[in-house]
Amino acid sequence: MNKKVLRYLVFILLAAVILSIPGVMPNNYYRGLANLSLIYVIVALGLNFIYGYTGYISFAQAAFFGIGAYTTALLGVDHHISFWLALPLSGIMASLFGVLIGIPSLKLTGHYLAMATIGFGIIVQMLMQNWTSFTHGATGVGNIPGISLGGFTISSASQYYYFLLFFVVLSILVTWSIEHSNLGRSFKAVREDEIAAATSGINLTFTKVFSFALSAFFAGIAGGLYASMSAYISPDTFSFDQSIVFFTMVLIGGAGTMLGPVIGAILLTFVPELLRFMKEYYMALFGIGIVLIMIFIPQGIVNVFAKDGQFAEWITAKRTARVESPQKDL
Amino acid sequence: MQRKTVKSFSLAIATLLIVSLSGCGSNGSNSGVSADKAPIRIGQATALTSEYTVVGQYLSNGTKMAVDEINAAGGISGRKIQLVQEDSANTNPAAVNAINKLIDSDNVVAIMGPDLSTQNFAVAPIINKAKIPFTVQGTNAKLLDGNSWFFRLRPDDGLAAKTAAKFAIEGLKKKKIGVTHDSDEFGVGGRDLIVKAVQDLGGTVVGEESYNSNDKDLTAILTNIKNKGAEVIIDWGHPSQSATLQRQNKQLGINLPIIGSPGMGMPATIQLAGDAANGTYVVGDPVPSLNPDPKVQAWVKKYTDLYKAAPDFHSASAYDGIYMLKMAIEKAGSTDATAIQKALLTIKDYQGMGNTFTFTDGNGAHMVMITQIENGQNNKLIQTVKL
Amino acid sequence: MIQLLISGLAMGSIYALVALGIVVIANAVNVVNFAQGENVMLGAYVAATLTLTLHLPILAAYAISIILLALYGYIFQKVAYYPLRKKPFITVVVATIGVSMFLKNAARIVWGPQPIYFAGPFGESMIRVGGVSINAQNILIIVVTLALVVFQHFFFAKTSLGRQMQATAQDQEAATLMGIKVSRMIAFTFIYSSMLAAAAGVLLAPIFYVSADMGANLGLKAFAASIIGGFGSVPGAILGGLFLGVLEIFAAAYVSSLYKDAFAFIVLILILAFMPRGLFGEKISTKV
Repeated sequence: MNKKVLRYLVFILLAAVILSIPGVMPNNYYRGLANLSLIYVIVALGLNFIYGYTGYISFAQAAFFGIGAYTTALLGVDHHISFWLALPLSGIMASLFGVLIGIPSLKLTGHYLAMATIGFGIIVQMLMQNWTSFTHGATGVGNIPGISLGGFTISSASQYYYFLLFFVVLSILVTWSIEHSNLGRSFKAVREDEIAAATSGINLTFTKVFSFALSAFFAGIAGGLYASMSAYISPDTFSFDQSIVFFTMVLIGGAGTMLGPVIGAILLTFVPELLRFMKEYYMALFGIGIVLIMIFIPQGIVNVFAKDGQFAEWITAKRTARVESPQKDL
Repeated sequence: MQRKTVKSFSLAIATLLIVSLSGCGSNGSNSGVSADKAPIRIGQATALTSEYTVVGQYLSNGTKMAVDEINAAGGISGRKIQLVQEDSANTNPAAVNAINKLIDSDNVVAIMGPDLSTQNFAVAPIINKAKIPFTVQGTNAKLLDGNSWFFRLRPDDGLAAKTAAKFAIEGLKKKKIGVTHDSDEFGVGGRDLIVKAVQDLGGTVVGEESYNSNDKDLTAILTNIKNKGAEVIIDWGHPSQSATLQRQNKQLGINLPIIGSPGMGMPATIQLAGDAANGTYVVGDPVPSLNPDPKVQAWVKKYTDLYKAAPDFHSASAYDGIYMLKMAIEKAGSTDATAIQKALLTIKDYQGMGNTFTFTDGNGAHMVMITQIENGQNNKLIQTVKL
Repeated sequence: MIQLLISGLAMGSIYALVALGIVVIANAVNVVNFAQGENVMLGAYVAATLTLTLHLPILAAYAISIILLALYGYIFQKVAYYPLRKKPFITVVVATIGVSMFLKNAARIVWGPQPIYFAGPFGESMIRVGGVSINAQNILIIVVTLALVVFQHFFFAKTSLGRQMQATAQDQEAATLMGIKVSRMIAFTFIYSSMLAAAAGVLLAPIFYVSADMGANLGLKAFAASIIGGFGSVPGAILGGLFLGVLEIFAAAYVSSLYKDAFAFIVLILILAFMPRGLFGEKISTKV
């Protein structure tokens, strides 16, 4: 069989599987998890820009996610602004904060940057919790309006699945086109060697800040979707621990690849839930699991099955991912 | 690392995932057992992990004890109760997942809700959509607004906060009040209610200070409260910080009387605070050991023997919750959600191990106690307040 | 005022001790150990169990706890660091996060969810000077931290083992050429760091209470302290810890108890904005 035909067949099969998930899932609990994992996919794809492609550690992704969620929630609840206007504003608001953290981070590397992003995340969470007159404080924001489109209101878990899937596909397309643009190449050049990148004419300031903003934008959009889907948000959701979970998603899936964050996000949403039957033991076991994965597949799951990113390459028929870790010298 | 090993390891993970996914549909149905003999599934979402397990354990123990007793006595109308517990991990996403699992995967007929109000807020949209009776532990005064499936087993913070303010001003005759509280939803909600109640009663709040759930040193807060001229402290927080507050109050020689939220009376808090706890006032749920009813005394003894630790008001409310669900299901004559909801709303003057319950709306518990800690026991009754 | 300062210094000493444990490992193998807070928890639990359950004298319990944690440090590096020694920094960091998740949840299963009060050697005695009450434990924490810092200085400067560890931390290849057994020295570094954690654990137990979550926030604060001081610098970690402890308590007293933590982190970010290598960090040489 022709390789091209085979590729199309696999592609169609994959699409069929993805589209049939709400039907295959036994009940709404699993559909709900699938929806949550789709939202996390967008967050992880965002984090992949700053960490995977540009090579900077950020533990602030949950804060950007939260800024997006609060923007949509507060605009909807306090100002009755439609979801369709609030959602892009969520992304923009998060990316403004991304710029805010991106600028001081220009001078920071390694541990220092990691700490600055942790600090930023904690400050954001404190503001959400304590600035009651603006954020509704620790009680959280409830009755967030749902999503309707031309008279049709999204209500069931399956409807949300297709709605979120649209955003995931969009995110993947945006990621793909950025990866193959000059900007994407600048990201990678900065990751490999900042000094060399600068001498070859790449604007370091712009590239780094833009990468931060882009990461935050994705997280902000995902946050807006999360707020509308769950109808209630509160500050404790957007914690440092959650940032670590997002980071682990990217790392376990395979940083710097396009499929890695997708797989990582799905895995880390489902696995703890599937371990629930172990009751109080499951989180301890989950911890061991992370250590084992770091020991045995530190390069990420995607890179095991697809040497040098062959899998993604094969699907997209393009040269894409790479296998070495995106780690900068610290 | 050998590539082959790596690959097989990854494959093993993938297989595990697929196997568990494909197996997940099968545990929800009771096929093969006729409906009138099948066990009645009751769900409970509580903290099995996270620092809040300290409360989760009381809730879990109280619930299990009631379920075991009922099953040993023949169940509900001949059907056994099957308790399904899920971890709420003290986070909203985990609580949401736990509730979704209980409703959709485990097909429970009623749910014992998670520990903190914020998690109850988070799951409210799901409960309202699924229409399933849901008992509430969270004490936030606004929690029941618009949630007709919520049945609260604890007095709400409005009542407790008002009682605390009233006791400070009228009982202790102190008009200058310092408020200390956790910065979380529980503490902040409590603070607002206390401040309002104090103002309504003609007192003044001279200082409001908050701490975070992981603070270990409250010297600054106590010094501030003292310097602002407070004559009494009303504290709304969780065990660790409440204990530190009492300790440092004595250690720093500040020695202000303290009126605490229900958590101040938990055995865990008293044990942490040691001698410093003596003299502290607690406003909260009725204390089972103070109930003269021999039935309650026997329950306290049985619980203590069973779990090698004394029960607290959480265990009592969870225990009572299960028995009231049993009553409601028996009265309804079915496990139909609307029928159970209706039956719960007819419960009147039910003498539980903790509170006395009357559900005209979602609020069932209308009684709080003011107690004082003596000799390391929350055993001195000052006053019982009924709404 | 004096009370606030002493409390701040005591809290700062705790941050400094934990930060020290993080920094010695970071210097040796360039990894941030996010499980250091949980190691502290482990040290506290072991000592508390020995004293409260097995009724050993408190100082014996302290000693045994430090020895057991030394053993644990060896196992920790064998299991969670050694297989990853050639992997990138962040992989190891995430592995230590995995270890910390495991330890926290395992401790809760083993010792139960109820926090434990474990008094120090002076019980609850207070020192009263001119109308000011100071917790004796706070003084003990400050004194022991100072003593450990002096000890560490002499250990690394004067003893053969200390010098070999120091050489390994500075340049592994050169150390190998000098005939130093590098992997053994790294193991010793982990052992030493865990012993520091045990010392911190028993010291802060009366103030923090012993619970599975006692170390969670502590590790983060200690990391922040070491960053403020300049990552990798031992005096930086100590001064950064003291600075953070005092800053927090004065922020709570004079700015806002509500925004105390936020304030501390804003100061941290401001310091980094103007001094990207912290207060005492090495100069940047390779950056553009």
